[in-house]
Order: sequence, then structure tokens, then C-alpha cells
Amino acid sequence: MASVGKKLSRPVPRYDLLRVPLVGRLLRWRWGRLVGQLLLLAVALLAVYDGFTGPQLAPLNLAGVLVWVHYRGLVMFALLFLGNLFCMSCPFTLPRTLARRFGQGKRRWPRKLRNKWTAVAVLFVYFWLYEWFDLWASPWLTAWLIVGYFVAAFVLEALFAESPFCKYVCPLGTFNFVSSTVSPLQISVHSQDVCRTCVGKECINGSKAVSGCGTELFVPQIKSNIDCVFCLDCARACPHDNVALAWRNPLVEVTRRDAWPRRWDLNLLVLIFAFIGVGNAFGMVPPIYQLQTWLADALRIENEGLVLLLIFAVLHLLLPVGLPLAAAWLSRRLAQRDEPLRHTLARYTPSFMPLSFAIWFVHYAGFHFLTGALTIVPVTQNFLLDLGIGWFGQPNWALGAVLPAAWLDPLELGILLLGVALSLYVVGERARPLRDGLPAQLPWMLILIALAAAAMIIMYLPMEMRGTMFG
Amino acid sequence: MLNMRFYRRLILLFLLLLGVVAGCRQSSEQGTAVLTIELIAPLNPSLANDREMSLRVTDEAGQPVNDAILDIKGDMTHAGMVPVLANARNGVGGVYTTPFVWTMTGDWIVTARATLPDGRWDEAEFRLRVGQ
Repeated sequence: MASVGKKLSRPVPRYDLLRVPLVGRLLRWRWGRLVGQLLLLAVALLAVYDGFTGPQLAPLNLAGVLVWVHYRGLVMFALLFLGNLFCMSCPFTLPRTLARRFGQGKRRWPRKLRNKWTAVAVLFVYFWLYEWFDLWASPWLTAWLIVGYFVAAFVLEALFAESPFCKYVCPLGTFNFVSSTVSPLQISVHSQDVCRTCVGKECINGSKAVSGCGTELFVPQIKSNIDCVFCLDCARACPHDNVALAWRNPLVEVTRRDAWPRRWDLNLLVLIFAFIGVGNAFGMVPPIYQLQTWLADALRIENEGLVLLLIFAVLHLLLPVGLPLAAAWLSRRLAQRDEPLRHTLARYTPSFMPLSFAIWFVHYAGFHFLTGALTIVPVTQNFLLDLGIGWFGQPNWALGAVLPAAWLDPLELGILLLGVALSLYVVGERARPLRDGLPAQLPWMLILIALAAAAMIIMYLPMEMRGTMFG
Repeated sequence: MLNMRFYRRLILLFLLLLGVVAGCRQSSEQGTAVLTIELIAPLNPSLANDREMSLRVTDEAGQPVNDAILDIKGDMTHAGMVPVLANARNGVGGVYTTPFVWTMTGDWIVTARATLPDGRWDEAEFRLRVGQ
């Protein structure tokens, strides 16, 4: 059983979404999560069905549009304005009940894997495969990807306790956990005294009617959104009505010194996540094809997967590990401080989050969603016509953008500039308690500015989308 | 045991339903005309230079067809990209030319459907890589 430590959670909520009329009631309702999950399950099944049986051209297929335009775009908006709503409504965890029936005597997830190294590896492999197989261009592979999520979640849930799929494996979960560290909602408690005197600790242990936290977070000690799937089981289980879904300053988590543990795995995950943001966008501009050709010629490699592996090993692993480690070493030296390198790294890693989120937001929401959200209309019309349903008329293929194209560049530039400005502000805030001077902050500032510059250059390059079918 | 049997039946029912609904799809529907639609230009399109597209339509006997309506649609490989649409009428020697402006470099799938005055149609697909 968990116990309450001396340091309890912050912030004490001033604004609790669970206390908002209707919304709060729906969220706290025993089947509230199920409503969202069933909705997304229907969407997932639709994508799987069209992915396997529909036109194998992503812009004409629901698997292509729903997954690579709407899912990614809407997740970014949800994370920006609310929080980790996708994990809250995740359909992949729905077969959990079924899995629990199959699972006999659940084992604990191996101790050696109870960290973020698996998440780092899965994230890296996922984005490598994404580029190699052009997942975005193949409705068939997209459908298999969705099926894969269901199977993986089911198997891991059947074998292990502690929701290891969500916490340690799922790349979507990893993406959402890291991004939600700059989201405005967080699980918190109204009164820390209530938690101190609580006997049952139902928020984590569960009650007769409701299970406790699936990822085994203890609410009064939650300082970060990482690993929180927003399932709200804690709020439903708490017999004292003490759990809150609180509004917070989105920068509070990344500016607080003790919000994250000073672990290599977690901090490197955040750094790798930031660099993958740039690498993922780089995968859709002409220089990557020139680089691929040059590398293939220089190293005499014919296998595209191997060439991409080399490129992404540098962009997604070597740079996000090497540059921050060098910055940490230099920063520690300039601050004339005697401390483990890991501590210096962990002090400044959270400063990458505002910029990192801005880069992902500009790519997925700012570009793909805002330029293509309305394509769902003709694609759905076409899908229904295929099934012999003509109620909604002939597809209007001219539908696409939500905003005029001329607005996008200034909007995206503004978001990136805001992101880098907030990141530089966070560097200053994190330096303040230990009185790190400007020289000690400078290496971090330089990396952030370089990352932002790379993102801006990619944004202004002409896009070039190639698909797997052309070899 | 009862629950296991129930779940198995549920999965089987789901798979059956999927099969039935999949059988209803009409996307593989074929036109009733037998036409040959060839892309004449551009074969190696350039974003900067190519602003027209020319196609030739011939019938089963290889004779040029001049009275078809050509509906042309250019799709990129990424979802969410708005397609380029064009149409052409009044072929000359079976050749139809229409303005067609590529919006981005990369891989494109051009679908051209030729519809005859009696409503019969045929279509062809061309895969092109648009360069700078």
C-alpha cells in the first residue's frame, strides 16, 4: 500500500473541471470514460475496415485521413487546450476486461523494464518504420498498425499488471505523456490533509466498484502529467471526493525543480522527443532525399531502410543525446558546480518542452490538420457511395483547408517563435534557484535556438511527399 | 466457460459482419466502355514548368475518340492533401489538353476518367513523380 510522503502535490486546485456542472458529472460518471472509448473504437474500426477494403490511396481512404490528419491534429489541439484526452478515450485499452479474463495470476512488469528505455526504443523504431514504409501513404499498413495496437495492448494487459502497454510501450502514450507536461490540466487533490488521514487509499488501491489508478500513480504525490492517462478512475474511486482535474499554468510543471525525477531514461526521452519533432518534419522536405542518395552512393548501400536508419540514428539518437550531454558538461563547468552530469542535464531538460511541443503542433495541427481537415467530408461521401449510400451526394474533392493558405506560414512562424521564447524563459527559471549565471545557461540556449532555426528552415522549404508505392 | 464461448461467438459475429459489409463495396466497379487512355505529357513533370496535361483517348479499334468528357484528378500520397481537379472536352485526333497545375513536388497519382456521350466510361491511372 502506498503511503503519503511529507511533500504532497501541487497545485492545490483553484479551478476543478470535475466541479463544473454537467461536464464534471459526465467525467465522474462510472461509464463516462467508456463513452469516449466506444466513440474512438467506432472510429478505429472504421479506419481498419476502410484500410483493408477501401481505395489504397491515403487521401481517399478513411484510414489515411482519420489517422494521419485528424487523430494527430486533434490530439495536438486537445493537448494544448486541455490535456491527454486521447489516452482518456483510448480504444486500445477497451479489450482490457477481456484480457483480464484470460490473464491468470498477473505478473509484475519486469523490474529492469520499469523505466522509459523501452519507450525510447519503441519511439525511435516507430518513427524509423514510419519513414521507411511511408506508413502515412498506405491505408493497408495503417489498418495493420491499428490492429497491432489492439493486439499489443491486449497481450500485455493479459500478462502483466500495472498497464505496462500504456506506461512503458505505447508510442502514442509516450507522445501524449511527454506532450501533456505543458498541458493546462492535471490530476490533483483538493485537500492534502484528507489524503493524509485516508485509510483505504482507494485512488490507487481501488474500491469494490472502481479500480484504482491503472498506471499506479498515487494522486497526492502526482507532480507531473507523465504516466497519467486521465482515466479518472482515481476520482471515481476516492470516497472523499477529494480528487480534482485542476487547471494549472501550462508552464508550471516544466519550471518546477522537483516535478520530474532526475533519471537518465526520462530526461533523454524528452530530449529525443524534441529532436524527433524536427526529424519527422525533415522527412518531408527535398534535402532528405538528396541526403539519402548521397549516403547510399557514398556507403554503397542499396537498402533504403538501412540508409534511413543511419540518418535517424544521427538525428533521433546521436544529436539529442550528444548535444545535451555536451551542454550539461559545459554548463556545469561554467557554473563551477560539482554535481553529477545527470543532475545538470535534468535541470535543463524540461526547458525543451515548450519548443518541442510547438514544433510538433506546427507540423501535425498547423500544417496537416489546418490544410486538410475538410478532406474528411468527400472521403466519407466516397466511402458511403462505395457502400451504396448516396444520401450525402457526390464527393466535393475541392474541400480541404480550414484556414486560408496565406495564413499558415505566419501562424506557424508565430507558434515556433512563441515556443522558443517560452523555452528560453524556462531555462532562466530553472537556472534561478541555483543561481546559474548566463554563461551556464548559454549552451542550452544555443541548442534551443538551433533547434528552432532548423524547424523554421524546414517549414519554409518546399514540401515533397513521396510514397512507398513508387519505390 | 460460458463467458469464453460468448466472447468467441462475439468475435466470429464481428468477422462475419466485416466480411458481409466488405462484400458490399463498389470501389472496384468497372466502367462499361473499353477505351485506351494514354498520358502524352508531361511524362516527367516539373513543378515550375509544367502547367498543362495532354491525354489521348482511343477506342477498341484504336480509333481516336473526340467526343468524350475527361475528368482528371491528381492526388498526392499523403492524406489531407487537396487534389488537383481538371476536365477536358473536344479532343483533336483523340488528344485532350487541359490546364493542370501541380501544387507540390513528390509522388502523384493521376486518375483520368473518359465518359462517352452514351454514359459509358473507362478510366486509367498514372503514377508520376513531380520534380522541381
